[in-house]
Amino acid sequence: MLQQIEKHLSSSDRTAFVINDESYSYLELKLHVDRCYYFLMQHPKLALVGIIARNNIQTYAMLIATVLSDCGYVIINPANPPERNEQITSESGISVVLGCCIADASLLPAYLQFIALPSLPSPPHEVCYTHPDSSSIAYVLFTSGTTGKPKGVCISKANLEALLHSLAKLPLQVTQDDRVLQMFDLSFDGSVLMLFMSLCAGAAIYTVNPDRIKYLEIARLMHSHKLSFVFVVPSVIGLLKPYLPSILLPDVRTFIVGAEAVSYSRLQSILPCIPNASVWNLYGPTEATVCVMAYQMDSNVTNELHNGIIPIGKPMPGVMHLVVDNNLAICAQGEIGELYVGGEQLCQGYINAPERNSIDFILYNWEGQAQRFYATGDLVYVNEFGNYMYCGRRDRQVKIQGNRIELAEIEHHAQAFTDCDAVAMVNELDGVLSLYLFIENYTGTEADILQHLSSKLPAYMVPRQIINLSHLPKTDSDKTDLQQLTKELLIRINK
Amino acid sequence: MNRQQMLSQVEDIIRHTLKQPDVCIFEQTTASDIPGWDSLSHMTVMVAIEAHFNMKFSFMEMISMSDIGSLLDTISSKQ
Repeated sequence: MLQQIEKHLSSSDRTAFVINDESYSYLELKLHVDRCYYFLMQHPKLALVGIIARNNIQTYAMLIATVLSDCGYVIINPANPPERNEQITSESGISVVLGCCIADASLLPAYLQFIALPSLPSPPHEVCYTHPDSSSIAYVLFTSGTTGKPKGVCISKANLEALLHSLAKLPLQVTQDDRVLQMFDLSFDGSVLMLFMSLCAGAAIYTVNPDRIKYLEIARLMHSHKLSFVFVVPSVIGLLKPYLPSILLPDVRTFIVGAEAVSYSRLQSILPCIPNASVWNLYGPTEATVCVMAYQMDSNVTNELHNGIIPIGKPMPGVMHLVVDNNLAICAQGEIGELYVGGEQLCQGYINAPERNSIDFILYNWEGQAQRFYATGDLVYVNEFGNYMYCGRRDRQVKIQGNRIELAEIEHHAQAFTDCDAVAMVNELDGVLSLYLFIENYTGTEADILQHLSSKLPAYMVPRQIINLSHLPKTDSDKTDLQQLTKELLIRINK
Repeated sequence: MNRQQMLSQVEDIIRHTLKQPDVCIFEQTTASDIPGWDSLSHMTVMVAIEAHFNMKFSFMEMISMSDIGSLLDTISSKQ
């Protein structure tokens, strides 16, 4: 599938990207890709490089060049605290970081070699893309970890190819005439889906300017550029709610939601705005390469809701899937259990984390053979129509605007700083989930804690509010009473 | 009300709603220049501005405002 990208790069003067309202053709994109690809060919020992992510054509060209080579990429987000980026570069073991301008070197520890794409020489001859080794890394994405350190999910070229092949078998195709929204941060794997599906088809990708209010910029792009293929997180719909009656987007032919549980009432509110769209819900953990289940909404949806949440659908082609109980016995249809997924999209594990890998990835008998599966932590059941229904988590992981967050990671940093008990919680405010942190009997200021957390965690993991209580409520068994805390939170928010 | 007075009132609203008492805004200021001004707080800021100036912004006005200058233009055009 990735060879399709080479074909478009070499022959198409169609638009590849529209970034900050400026268009770049595939041939223009190729000039940047070739420069980076040639560098990677000259340095075959580089298995993984860091890429400082900016919203510009050079950044996207570097991602494409690595995926077309035997090298993989690790995204370094300039908006992250320096300590977070240091953890990421150190865990991934990279020695070289690519960026767009010399000034970006200041974001990195001195032991890393920084190379600015414009400083690289142009290839002396026409670049021929060789087929990358399928076992080579495509990318490593870091997700929130319960121990206070992010986990690096290592996705191979074979995993990425498997995803693209599986998607190609669904009636969910991007065509070369599509204008595609790319709203995702590059350190989130929704970006992988939108980029590589679109590039394989030769479509035009419209990126979101991170300096503007995101949901309004998404709406502006959809409206002004008549986007036709759109994937948004459900919270975008929630934020646009006051304006939905005056929005009409007849050019949207495919509308995908995902990365969070999707409530029907929220989805229903946008349907009049997208009268010509087929509507999809995509589900999947980063560990199984973006998505493993797909649901195309139809008129039966109202008969398939679980607590108002729409189905996550059926397994995509090639995906192995199990629902098991606490004893790893297969659940009957309709019985809630944990979802395990396997198949060619399943990653080899977390980078430098053998203990975590032995817990999260297990061997299970599948059609007479022992196969690797990933324990998603998601509780599901299969309904009478064969669709998987999402019922919640077996742990305290949450999703906020599509970002996967372990509440324990926030608590870890808060407790380490304050030496007080801390409990992170989420609650919906104005249609969007927000984070809150309860702290027990802290004598400093809330601003101190927020400042500390901002120096350790990405912005989406910093609580909206700190609530200092003299005592955290306890249950009879002396555990923190989360139900009581939820009530307390509702009182505080509604004040 | 002249433009400077309008700017000053918008600045007060932003300081109050974002709990940033020291923040200063200019015509070219964008949300990304001000700590804590994100998608969710943007709604709160805009609702407060609508209430203060007794007006309602349309969808087209919302998506075309890129900085404080264009916000002031929109307020002026509706007064």
